[in-house]
Amino acid sequence: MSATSPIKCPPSPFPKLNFIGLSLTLLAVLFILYDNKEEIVRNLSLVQGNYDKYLVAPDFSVKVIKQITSYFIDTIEIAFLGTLLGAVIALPLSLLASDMGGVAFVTSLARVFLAFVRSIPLIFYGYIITKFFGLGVVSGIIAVMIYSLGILSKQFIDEIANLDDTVAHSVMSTGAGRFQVFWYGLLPELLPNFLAFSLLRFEINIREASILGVVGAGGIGILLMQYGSMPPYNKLWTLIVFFFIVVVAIEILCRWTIKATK
Amino acid sequence: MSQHFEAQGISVVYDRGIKPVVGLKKISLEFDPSQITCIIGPSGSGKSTLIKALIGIVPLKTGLVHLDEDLLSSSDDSHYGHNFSHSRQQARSRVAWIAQDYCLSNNSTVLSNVCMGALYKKSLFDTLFQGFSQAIKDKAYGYLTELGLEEKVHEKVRRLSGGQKQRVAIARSYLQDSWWILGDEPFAALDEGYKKQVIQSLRNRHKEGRGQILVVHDLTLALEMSDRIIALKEGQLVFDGSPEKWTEQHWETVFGLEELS
Repeated sequence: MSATSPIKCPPSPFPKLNFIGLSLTLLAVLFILYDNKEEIVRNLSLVQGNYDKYLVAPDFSVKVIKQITSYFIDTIEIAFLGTLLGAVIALPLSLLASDMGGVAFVTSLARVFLAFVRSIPLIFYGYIITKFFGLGVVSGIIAVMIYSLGILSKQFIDEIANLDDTVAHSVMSTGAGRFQVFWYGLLPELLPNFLAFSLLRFEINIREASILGVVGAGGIGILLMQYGSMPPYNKLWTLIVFFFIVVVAIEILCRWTIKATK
Repeated sequence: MSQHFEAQGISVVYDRGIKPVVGLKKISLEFDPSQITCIIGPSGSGKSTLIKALIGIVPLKTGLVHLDEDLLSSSDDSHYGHNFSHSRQQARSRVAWIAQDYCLSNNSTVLSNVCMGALYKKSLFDTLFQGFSQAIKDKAYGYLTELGLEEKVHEKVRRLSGGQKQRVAIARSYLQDSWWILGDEPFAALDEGYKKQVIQSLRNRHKEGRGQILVVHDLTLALEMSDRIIALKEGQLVFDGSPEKWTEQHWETVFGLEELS
């Protein structure tokens, strides 16, 4: 039995990036640690003396639970309506901005617009929009809508680009018109994934929208500010437990919905 | 109704991947609707590419595909997917395609997939606000019954097996009422029983006057069922003639290995 094969596998024509990439990442981590060494030592030692202030039992009194529930409902409303509106607007916009759009000028315009929308963080939207629409849930909904429309359209565009276009080709080969190819060849392939992305975004938005209260755009963030400013933090812990329960519940609900549509 | 179907000097180049791959090299062919034509050749020889070029879903580097007076595909198309002129759509509707990997909409039902063959008969308004007409559904059901799929009519395509999907694709090509049926290995996923049934149903369509161009992997079957054999190798035409003219010599040229080591 010979040890080596007489046929040699040719090497891959693609460059190897693993080693360079790993070294650069490691260098970056070391640099960040070194750059902040004083702060790291200072802040980590700060925690030591304050266990009694931080580690306290959650407060499950009826009054607190009632308060948290009502604010949480606001946050869920903001996330739900904001994501729904965002997804509805993102669908036509992402079609315009994808390669299917056809008109190069419109495609570029839509892409630039979406890139702009996407570049601004949610908390900024919340802050700016409360200046126009005032404090409250409505501002929160508008902020989440604009924010999710940016992110969802990016995911939709990628989804359209990765779409297996053989189905569209086969519909086209029957002599169907442009709109029919879209309606029968592309939409049925895209919609389930669009729905899944939107539900995932809803789930994430519940977490993201909770910060909106900090700038006055409604929801649980208002309580975060309140509870976080008065130690001991019993109520803050209640809030965290609530978060866990609500987010897991919504996650399960979304999974069920996605499964049911498959 | 002349059904003149012709490809003039078509070349296809795939320029994705590490280096460009030539799919077809300057192939000119004329097809006769009274014949069943079989395309054979080794893997990667361009059989599927030829079928796709003939139905106009692959961009041509050079050449034209004509059906009657209508142009079906041309190297002048800037983007092959974007030509939806009336004559182009009409030409496409007259050539039905049975794709090798079925190319069905997995999230739609079997019935809806088959009915898509008749989309060219529907107006924009009907597409948006109405489903397929009962007449088209009845016809689709008829073909599905012929192919043994009557119990799967309302099933989603994703739940079907490979052989069932293939028969759905075949049923769609029948529903299209085309002049031509172009099949890319239409028997590949079928067991012996259904293979016989499908060959019989294809013969029925042939009797109805629909020309057929089929890529067939099984050489024996190809020689048995065809009136004309076209053999490809590395994107070039190496044999074109009746099955009687096919000899051992040709087998050697088409399928023989250059050197056995």
